[in-house]
Amino acid sequence: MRLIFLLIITLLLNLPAFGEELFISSAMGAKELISEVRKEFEKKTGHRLIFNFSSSGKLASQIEAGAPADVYISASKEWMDYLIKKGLIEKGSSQPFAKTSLVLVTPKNSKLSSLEEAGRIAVGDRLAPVGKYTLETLKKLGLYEKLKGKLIFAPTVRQITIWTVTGNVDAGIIFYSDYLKFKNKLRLLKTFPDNLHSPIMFYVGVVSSSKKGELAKEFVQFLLSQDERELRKFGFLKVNGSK
Amino acid sequence: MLDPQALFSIKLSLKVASVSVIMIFILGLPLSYALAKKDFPLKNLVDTLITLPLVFPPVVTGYLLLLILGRNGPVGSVLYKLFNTGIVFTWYGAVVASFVAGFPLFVKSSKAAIESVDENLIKVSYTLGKSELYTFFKVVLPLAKSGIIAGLVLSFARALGEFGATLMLAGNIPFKTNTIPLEIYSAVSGGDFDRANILTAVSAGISIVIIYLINRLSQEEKRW
Repeated sequence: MRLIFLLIITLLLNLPAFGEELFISSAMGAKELISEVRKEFEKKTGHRLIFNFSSSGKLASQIEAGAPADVYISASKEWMDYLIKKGLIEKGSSQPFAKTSLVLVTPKNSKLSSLEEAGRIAVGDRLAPVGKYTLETLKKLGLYEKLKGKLIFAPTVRQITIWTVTGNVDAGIIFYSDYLKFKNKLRLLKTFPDNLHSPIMFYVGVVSSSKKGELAKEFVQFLLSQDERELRKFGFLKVNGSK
Repeated sequence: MLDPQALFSIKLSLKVASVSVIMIFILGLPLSYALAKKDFPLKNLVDTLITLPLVFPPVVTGYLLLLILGRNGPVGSVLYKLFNTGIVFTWYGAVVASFVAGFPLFVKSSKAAIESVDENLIKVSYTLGKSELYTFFKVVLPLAKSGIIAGLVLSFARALGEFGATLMLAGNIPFKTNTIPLEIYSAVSGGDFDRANILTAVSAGISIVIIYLINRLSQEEKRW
């Protein structure tokens, strides 16, 4: 009995030798893409990736509070810059790796033909990256004041999607990459031109406090090396001439 | 110190919690009595169903409510046909969320209190020719009072703090459905910590005053 116990202990102690564990705090919006990348990365390197998926802002606050993370993936430049300013992201390690666009969606069987017809529109609140881009777009289209009373603010894309899919709002504004996940349940009405809002780019960076800096950089490089076809599957485009 | 939107959220929260607790009391008391003293088909199922919101994450409860009460839901669509309005994104939605969250807390507590009433006393009342209704109000209710009051306090506190299901069902619409917890959430995630602190203090203050008053009330009872 004692022998078995000792054996298990030795086994557990030895586990890290099989490969290292890398903690990745990633924006919810990149979940499907990152999960796909994970499989390839783990197969190629033998290391293990452990994910924490949440909203970009929440993850940034967690990292600020000292949560264990080696890599941070943000759905907006703002939250990445926020951590860089606090010195929590390794200098020069942050880069955009994918971009997507903003789309107007409706429930599957809806006959809505334009944004102005909608009675209730679910949008992200000012803290969610999707909300920020939506606000820019509506203001640029000169529709914000007109639609203000119809907007219902949600803290996450998921919430917007649930309200739209269940038909409780007439329309919702989300990222194209998020629309793809629910394309069986949603109707794509319109893609907003890119010049109506600041570029929607997902950023990746190495967390300064990471003790696995080399491995983290390897993962970042791996993510940046994804080809256009792979990204397109998940509704993203490659960022050209990344800084 | 408090802007109109914060003041609105305080008034709204008090309104929502009060209305839902009154509904919880009216519907919950007969149900607790039935669960404690009666046998009826599917009794266990009913007991289990009302306990679910205690176990479910509030967001899940909210999602289920949205499916049922939403515009295309089995109940929601009927409401739309009858009244041309729904409860999603209105303060009624907040009431429903608080009601469902607080209901099991009240029923569990008052059911236990009613069960603990000495059966002999009830039988004496019947032997004296008193009806079940009379016995309920004159014997069961006075003896189970403290447990019932405790249940009301618990459900009020739960209603006042309800967040997940409220967000799902009522949204977070300024001057419409922004209850105190939603307002605190917005303030914290917006980095407006002063506002969050004030609202937290208000929320704590309301709870403390109510719990204190009720404790005092039940202590005065005991002196008799």
